[in-house]
Amino acid sequence: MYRFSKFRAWVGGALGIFLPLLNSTSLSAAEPAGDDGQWTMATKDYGNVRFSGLDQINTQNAKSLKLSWTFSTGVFRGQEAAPLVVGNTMYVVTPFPNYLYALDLNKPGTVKWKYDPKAEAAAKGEACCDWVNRGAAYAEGRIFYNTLDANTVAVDAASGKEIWKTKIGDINKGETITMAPMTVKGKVYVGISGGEFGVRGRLTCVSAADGKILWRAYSCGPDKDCLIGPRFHPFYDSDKGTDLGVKTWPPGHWKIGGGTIWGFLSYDPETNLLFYGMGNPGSWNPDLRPGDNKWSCGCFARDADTGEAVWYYQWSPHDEFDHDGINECMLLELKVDGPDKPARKVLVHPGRTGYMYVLDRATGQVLSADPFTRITASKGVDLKSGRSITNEEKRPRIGKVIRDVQPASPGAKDWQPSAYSPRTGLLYVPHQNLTCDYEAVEANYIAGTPYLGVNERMYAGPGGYRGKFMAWDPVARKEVWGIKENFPVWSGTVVTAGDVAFYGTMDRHFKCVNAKTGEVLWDFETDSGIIGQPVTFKGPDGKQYVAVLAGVGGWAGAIVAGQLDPRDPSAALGFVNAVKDLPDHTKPGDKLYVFALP
Amino acid sequence: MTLPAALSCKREERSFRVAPPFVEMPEAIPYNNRVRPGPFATTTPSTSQPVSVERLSHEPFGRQYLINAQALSDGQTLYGAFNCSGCHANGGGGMGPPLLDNKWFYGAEPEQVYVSILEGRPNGMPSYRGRIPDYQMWELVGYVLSLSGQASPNAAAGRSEHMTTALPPNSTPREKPEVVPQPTTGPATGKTATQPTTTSQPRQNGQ
Ligand code: HEC
Repeated sequence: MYRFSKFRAWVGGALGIFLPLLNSTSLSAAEPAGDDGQWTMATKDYGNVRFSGLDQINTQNAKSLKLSWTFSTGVFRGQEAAPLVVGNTMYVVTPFPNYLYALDLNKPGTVKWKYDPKAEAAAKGEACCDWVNRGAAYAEGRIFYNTLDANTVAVDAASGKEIWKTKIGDINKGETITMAPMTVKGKVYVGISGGEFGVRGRLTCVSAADGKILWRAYSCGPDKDCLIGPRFHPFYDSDKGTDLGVKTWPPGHWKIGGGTIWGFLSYDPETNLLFYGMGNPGSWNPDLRPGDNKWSCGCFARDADTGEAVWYYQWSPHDEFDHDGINECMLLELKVDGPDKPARKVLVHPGRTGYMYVLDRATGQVLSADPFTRITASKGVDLKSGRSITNEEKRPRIGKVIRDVQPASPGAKDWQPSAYSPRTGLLYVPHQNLTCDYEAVEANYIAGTPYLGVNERMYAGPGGYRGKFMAWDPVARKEVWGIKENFPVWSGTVVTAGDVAFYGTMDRHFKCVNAKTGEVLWDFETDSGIIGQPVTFKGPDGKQYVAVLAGVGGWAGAIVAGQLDPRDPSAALGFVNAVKDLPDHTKPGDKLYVFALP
Repeated sequence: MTLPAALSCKREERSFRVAPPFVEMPEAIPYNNRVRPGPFATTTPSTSQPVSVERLSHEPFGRQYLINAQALSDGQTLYGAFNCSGCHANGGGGMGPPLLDNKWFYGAEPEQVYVSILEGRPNGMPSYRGRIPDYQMWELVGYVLSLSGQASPNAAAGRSEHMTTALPPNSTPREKPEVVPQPTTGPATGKTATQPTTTSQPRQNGQ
């Protein structure tokens, strides 16, 4: 229980920042501390914990969950977004054309308004992995989200009127946006996608009031562009020095150096620091860019006001397999130093590389990095230098086919966000079991076209299953239970105070499991595969609801969403080979499902 | 004796390079296309035969590339070099649609494929106008069509130089191309294809 009370104190701190800004319509005093029954940002909370204090639905009654209502968005592409719930309204962002729907929870499924950002159609061809959008953020009566054609919009939450629209990137260079922004104290933080196009990654800070760009922090290039200055104190020597974002590249290559930012951000109100990961370096083929390729495939801690870098850690220097470092950074307090020592403020990152990293949140020191799947791509993480240990046998070289590289490019886990329950002390991690054959080839940089230089075909790792939903104990550093799934588990998850967790599968099952044991308590079949982020909220009637968007797609489901041809194993950058049979299990979908107890 | 002689004679007539067509020049003219200035006639360095608009409209020009092994093989290399493979993979598609099936949004006539590459298409196909010499554009047209078996199997590329992926074009079954509409996902116009619908009817648990 010590964990729970710690957690409460911390969440309380986080809520203190934004509670006063909310519409106070549905806030009820009866809620467990730290949960108002709303869902105001894709990640639920600043720490990316995705724990809901709601407990009406529990391990005893979950089996009687029933469908309450549905809503069709009319957009049959990969639905990766988390619906938001603010007061009595639910907000749903669709994949391109990125409509925003406001649904009235008093009259379930009724559209209050629909906003169309009129995104440019050409963006669809520049988006690596289907036309997905991962959701919105709410603050001070406004909904903020990003469009595939690289704009950020602010929409009035009551009327659906556009307040401002700011251009963040240029689709002609392959710049798109799929991530959910985060908003803190009048600022909106936005990343950029396009790691497959040699896009120069950066975090853009936009004023919530008027959409003005306040600063940009690049992921490669000179220190001044990366906002690296006197406050920057990385833990490891290999990250110390000036202009490493230039010097760890062949001359000029940083200009197309990647390090895009398309995952979730986290924020620690106590230290006012933002944390986020960077994607792969420009050109998948590593031979074309000798060096550590900073600051790609790592994690920055930055001052939320000024953007100044405070520390950095690189998960995979000189990335070899498109192992983007963008997975969520969960801000937790864990007894990693022993049961008698005080809990440490840590950052937990279930990496694409297959390691579960636990970092000291104040310094960026790696406390542990344990494999949570089979790994052949590397040989571990050296805790002394912090460096990932290269497996020479699997090193890509031009013209050579390397077989059985696990994790394959989507990693052991991709963008699909995990959850943590302070009640069970466990992390819930949706992920995949994929390996691949990998051939490095020449790559030409042509703006607006892919900059890859790799032929890849993926397939299931040993065991034959392609996905897994796992509970992991971050203190004992081991798996506690796991549910194997036929397809990659590409959906997010949420865990609640009722000790149940929810996730969905690409073959159309939405499941509720006992968070302690992994027993499946309830299983609902949807129209299309699920790759979205389940959320739970309290409706105007005081009941606890669970909502999820079902509509297969994303990189993993591109074969269905884009009607790709399974005769080519390299389709969708090689993912199609691993999921050739997906079209037998699901069609595209566009539907929101909402469940409750009878 | 006469029969083989006649055959080999015919084989000798085969051209190893195909003549490029006329192409309208963009504002910024790529240097290697600007060899002989003049209205409605241009040429590329690899051949010296100017092609007139008249000829293009009277002669099914693009078909020449479907029976020419050199052009198809060059097309295969260019398909990788110009990053077509990044978006269309080896024909199975990805960010762009598949090219080895029978479904075409904009048509599978060589001239239509040529326009797809030259001008781009609204849902994200970039325009390569001014970036690729014209004769190479046609070599790409030939290779793209060979992916769905439209090229002569005797001329289409065999084993690829790389890791085996899709069947090589010379063994790909010949598809019957048909023009299909874009899948309904809120089309380019920004209008919803399907009107949003809602149900508040509780439905039976699907399992
Ligand atoms: C940035 C990604 C991208 C690149 C690079 C790209 N394409 Fe495309 N291509 C697309 C998309 C997206 C479409 C669909 C456009 C539409 O529906 O409006 C398309 C459409 C096409 C079509 C029309 C298909 C049909 O169904 O009618 C052809 C042919 C084509 N591309 C060939 C090529 C060739 C050849 C290259 C390289 C020279 C290339 N593409 C490079 C994304 C790309």
